[in-house]
Amino acid sequence: MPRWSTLGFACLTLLTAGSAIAQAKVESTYADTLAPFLKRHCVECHGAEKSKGGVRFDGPMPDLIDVKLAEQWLTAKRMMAQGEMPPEGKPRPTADELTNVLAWIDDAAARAATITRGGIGRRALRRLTPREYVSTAMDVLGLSFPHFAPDLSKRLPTDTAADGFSNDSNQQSTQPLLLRRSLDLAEQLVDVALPVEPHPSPIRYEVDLREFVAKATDKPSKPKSIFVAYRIDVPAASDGQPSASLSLVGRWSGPNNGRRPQAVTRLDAKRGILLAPNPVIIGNPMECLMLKLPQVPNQGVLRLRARAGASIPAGETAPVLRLSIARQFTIVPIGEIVVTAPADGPAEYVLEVPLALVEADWKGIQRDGHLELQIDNAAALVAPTPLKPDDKRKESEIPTPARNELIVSSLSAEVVEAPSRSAILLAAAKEGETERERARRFLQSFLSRAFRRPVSESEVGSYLGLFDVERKRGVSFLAAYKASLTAALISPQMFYLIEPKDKEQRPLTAWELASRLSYLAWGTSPDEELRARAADGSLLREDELRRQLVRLLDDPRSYALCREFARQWLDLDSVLHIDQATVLAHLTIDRKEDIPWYEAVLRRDLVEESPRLLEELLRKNRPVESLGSCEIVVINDRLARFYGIDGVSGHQFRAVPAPADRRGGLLTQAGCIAAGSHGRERSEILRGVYLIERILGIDIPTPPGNVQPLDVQLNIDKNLRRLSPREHVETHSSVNTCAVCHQRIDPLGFVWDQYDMFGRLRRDKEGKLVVARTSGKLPDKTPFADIDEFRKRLIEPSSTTPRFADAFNRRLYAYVLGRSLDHGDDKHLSSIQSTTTKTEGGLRDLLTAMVLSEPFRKK
Amino acid sequence: MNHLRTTRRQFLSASGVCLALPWLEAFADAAPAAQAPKRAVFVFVPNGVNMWEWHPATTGKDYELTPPLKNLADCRKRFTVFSGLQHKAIPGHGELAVWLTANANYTAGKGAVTKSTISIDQHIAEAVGRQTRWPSMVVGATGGRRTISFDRQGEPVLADQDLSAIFAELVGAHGREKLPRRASILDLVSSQAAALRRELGKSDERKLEEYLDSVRTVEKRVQADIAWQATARAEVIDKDRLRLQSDPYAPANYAEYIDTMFELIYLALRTDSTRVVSFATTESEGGGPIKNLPCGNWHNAGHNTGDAPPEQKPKDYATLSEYDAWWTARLAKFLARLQGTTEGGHDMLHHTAVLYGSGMSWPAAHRSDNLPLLLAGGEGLRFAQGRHVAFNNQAPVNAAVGKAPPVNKDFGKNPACVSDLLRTIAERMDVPAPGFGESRRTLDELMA
Repeated sequence: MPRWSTLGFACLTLLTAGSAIAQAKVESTYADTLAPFLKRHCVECHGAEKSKGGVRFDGPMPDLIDVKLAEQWLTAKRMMAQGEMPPEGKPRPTADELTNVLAWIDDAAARAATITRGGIGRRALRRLTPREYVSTAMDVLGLSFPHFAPDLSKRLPTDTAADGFSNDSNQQSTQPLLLRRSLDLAEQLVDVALPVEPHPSPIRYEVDLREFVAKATDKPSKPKSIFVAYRIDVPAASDGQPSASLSLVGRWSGPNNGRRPQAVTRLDAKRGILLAPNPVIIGNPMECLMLKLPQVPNQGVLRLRARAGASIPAGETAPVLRLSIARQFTIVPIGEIVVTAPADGPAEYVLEVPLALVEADWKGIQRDGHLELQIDNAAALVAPTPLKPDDKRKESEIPTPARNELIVSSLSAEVVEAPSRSAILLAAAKEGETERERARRFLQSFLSRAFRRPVSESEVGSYLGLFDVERKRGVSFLAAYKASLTAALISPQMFYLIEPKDKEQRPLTAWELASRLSYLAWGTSPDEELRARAADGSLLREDELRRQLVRLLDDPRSYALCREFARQWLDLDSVLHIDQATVLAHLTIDRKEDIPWYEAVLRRDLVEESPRLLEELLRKNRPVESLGSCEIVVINDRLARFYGIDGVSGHQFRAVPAPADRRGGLLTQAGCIAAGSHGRERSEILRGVYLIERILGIDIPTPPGNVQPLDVQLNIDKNLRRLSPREHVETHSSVNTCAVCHQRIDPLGFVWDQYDMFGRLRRDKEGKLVVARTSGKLPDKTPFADIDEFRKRLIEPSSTTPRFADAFNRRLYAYVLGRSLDHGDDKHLSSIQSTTTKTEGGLRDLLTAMVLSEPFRKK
Repeated sequence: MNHLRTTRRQFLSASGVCLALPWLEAFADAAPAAQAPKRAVFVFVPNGVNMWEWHPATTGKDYELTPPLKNLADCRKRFTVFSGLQHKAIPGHGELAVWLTANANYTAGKGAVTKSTISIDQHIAEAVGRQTRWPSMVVGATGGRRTISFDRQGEPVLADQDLSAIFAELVGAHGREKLPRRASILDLVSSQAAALRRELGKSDERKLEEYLDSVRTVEKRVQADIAWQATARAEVIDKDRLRLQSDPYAPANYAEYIDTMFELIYLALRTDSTRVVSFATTESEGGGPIKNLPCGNWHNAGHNTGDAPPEQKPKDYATLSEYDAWWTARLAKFLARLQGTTEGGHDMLHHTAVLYGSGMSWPAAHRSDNLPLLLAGGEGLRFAQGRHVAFNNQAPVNAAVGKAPPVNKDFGKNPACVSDLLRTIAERMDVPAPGFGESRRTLDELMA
């Protein structure tokens, strides 16, 4: 699409000028230029006598508000621009003629699209995405649990199609299921923020693990099943409470009958317990600490304090302390925290978990009468290097490579009432204040936070009305107040970004703009400063808008933008969902690179790499092209190990120089390659589709339903199996019906030929690198030899190759506007593009230009 | 405002009273059998079957049970197998969206999100749903848009995959004391939304209308929950059969997950929380969560067969056979559960029509002719069971021919299609559905 939009650009600027004049001009241009042109070149085949393809161009001026008509004209435009029409052998129009005609079609289509949409910046009522909803609710309730593992947004059903953005208002729909789940969640969150009553009996247990070790005299043996090595009673911190018990649980014989590398948890009288890495693939972890509480608290916040340190050998990663609730064979991870304190200087780590938000088998746990907490080191094991043929050692004699160890020297677990942050929600009554006044005072401030704007007296009045109704029904003050909060959380004002319509198109109000800006950059409601700028109206000034955007982007919370955009654009979440069975079938645990696929934390890192790169480039204001090609990689210790890069320690992402085999920005990230490969060994075509749609931004029609995937075709056809992968694909793209699209798709996928479905370098059975054949063609038939050349072709300006930057800008703009783009946005997009190109601006300038553009600032 | 609210509330609680009180055995025992509620359950299985051995060779009462149907031997008198029924659309892997809608304009490759037409379960639910707490129960392992149910506008009715949430809603575990509060909350937000509507433009109004509809639906449900609390009977819940923690993504849990979902369906019917259920077990495109049954990856096996004769692809057909049997075993368990419960002088199956089958027949070509379908129970709805009925002159699939038979074109004098079957079920539920999908008649030959 960018190919021809530049042609039509000149004419489009007319669009917003006095529309009557413009309309007259459109009509006169049609009469003067279009009609004669059509008569000369088109009507012979598409007219009253012949109407090939059911298409006619002999009528009066078309009104492109008619969707079918618009499609027909845009198709005609595309075919003319590409020289497919008029057909060969017919007289060709001159370049000038063509330019005018194409520009007219563009103009008319853009006008129609704007009218259909109802205004320049218009979008249908946009709902908060599940993630935005949860962040907003937590923020306005003053809740924050940074180490809480479960993703609460998963509780709400997602209803957007897989290839769009979840913030695309055109795709969103609100259904009873969503409202029901939101109501459930809102009730729970309010309960966490304002617990009903003080906890009946405090629960608090403390234990020094060095004592535990001292009591454990013998070395643990290695029995065959689940095994409790040691157990001690832990008396309660307050009198009169029953004791808890702490045990070291080991499972030395896993499903592989001992062949899996063994976790070696050690006891150290001076330091405590040294937990070895403990991958959970299926079922129970192998070694962990189990703290069994004699009561079942189902509300309040569980706070675990651990004095912990880590011993991290060179090239290894920091251990992750994971807290889970275990019942029988169901383990629900509830918290994770990375431990980086040195082995000899342990520090205190605190994990807070709101129990009411944990989806464990609470009924079963209540029946058991006790709660089992499990603490382990969530990192994968490395196997011993495989035996070489001349190695005479027995398997058991090969030492296990050193991995990180999580050293825990003391533990305390307590269940506390809700966090003390609830003062903004409800503080004590002022002197002489009635309970109704008190409720009103706090509702006022709560509502304006939840609705992201000042609230009117009558609005507060209605919510206070609910409070009154509840009070009359005889419930407590707190319960009645909580009902009002819950109602606010599921009200339409909370659910949607509400921008009331005017008769005329209008600029957004400062409050509306503040919300758009905040949800774009942070994925949550505006913070205090932004609200202040909205309140005094200064946000409407361009300089202030720029300043606020800079402030928001400089804040680490702007990672939300990079995360949501990149994950959805590149379909990265699919990496988390690659079927376990597929993973297990294709992996050996013999290679270091395999480990991420065993470690949930590391798979998440793979997903996080692309957004982190985007974040870094955005911070540095690097050009868009650097996403496709740059000299850095943004990784942490776990990814460094995966890629074989030395000298990176710690779980924080940071930029380091890229190694020779990963110099392609997004294109050489294992997460992207894995997402493009869909968990299939033979995935050239799927990769081609991924690249053409997501990187080149070309829409491909969906294939007919009864087409066999390539690996299935291979299974069926013996002759096909004898060919090389490249030949398979070539056979495939030569089939007539498929060729139209697949000639463009298939040659692309080879660019990743040196990487396997997990984004590792492809190796043969002996572990040697496979010689890859990475040459292929871009959709316009430009050849490339390997990934370096591919990147260059994407970036260099050329008339025919779709540029990566164009595709990226289009995607980003759709995300920024929160709706799918149509023809009416082309002119805004091209002016954004040309400004940034002219000023040689980077990603930050691009984003700024988008935010300053009319569609973002107008309703 | 206050005045308005009171009337609204009065209206709602009045309509709550209008709700038929849950029909339970307690008073059913005394009541004549005719008053037992009529129910319909639709169970969808993706990706077709091993067609060489699914359909019986002979028709009538004395047909021989084929291998996948052997699991149902105990209740062979209670179900009828159909041959020869088809959908006009060939939806490829989008068969979920066609199975109950018979949307003839469905094109392959667009997935289940294409604008569709109403599905028969929702059509029935529109008429009978008001009598129960939940108009219908729409569930599936993948959940969300991977559903077989579509509303009047053709929008997918999102399927629920969350066992514990369904159970919690079923028993009202969200706290009895919360229900009146929820009623007031919904009351308030719906008046807020109504006030907001005046400020918005046309297209926004449509979006807000969705919200209001959702509020109304949840509101009705709360009212029905309140009415139901009075009669709720915990003893029908058999905890041992509920494995609410089963993870549909963990291979070890597949059977548990499906069985638990069936048990929840049973409970919903048993407590008369709903009378219409659609269960989109999983999807054939990629297999959804349940991708690797004990028999292996059935989706790939289906493709692998190439619909070749059985002896050429023994391994893949073996996988498919195992797959078919795995599902019929689940079904058998569910049917046995319904048979094991008496109400009004009959077992529950007597009043429950259970349609089971796939939207695909030959898995490699993704054909939609001669679909594998069977209808169990529902004798109380006048269905005559215990037979194999071949429609449209469908010849038995014969392995001796050496290749998959071509699509049957000669339908004889009295043609029939899946739409006719769906319509017949609807009409036996007393919900007229003339012209549903491609339907031209009701299948009177199925009546006793």
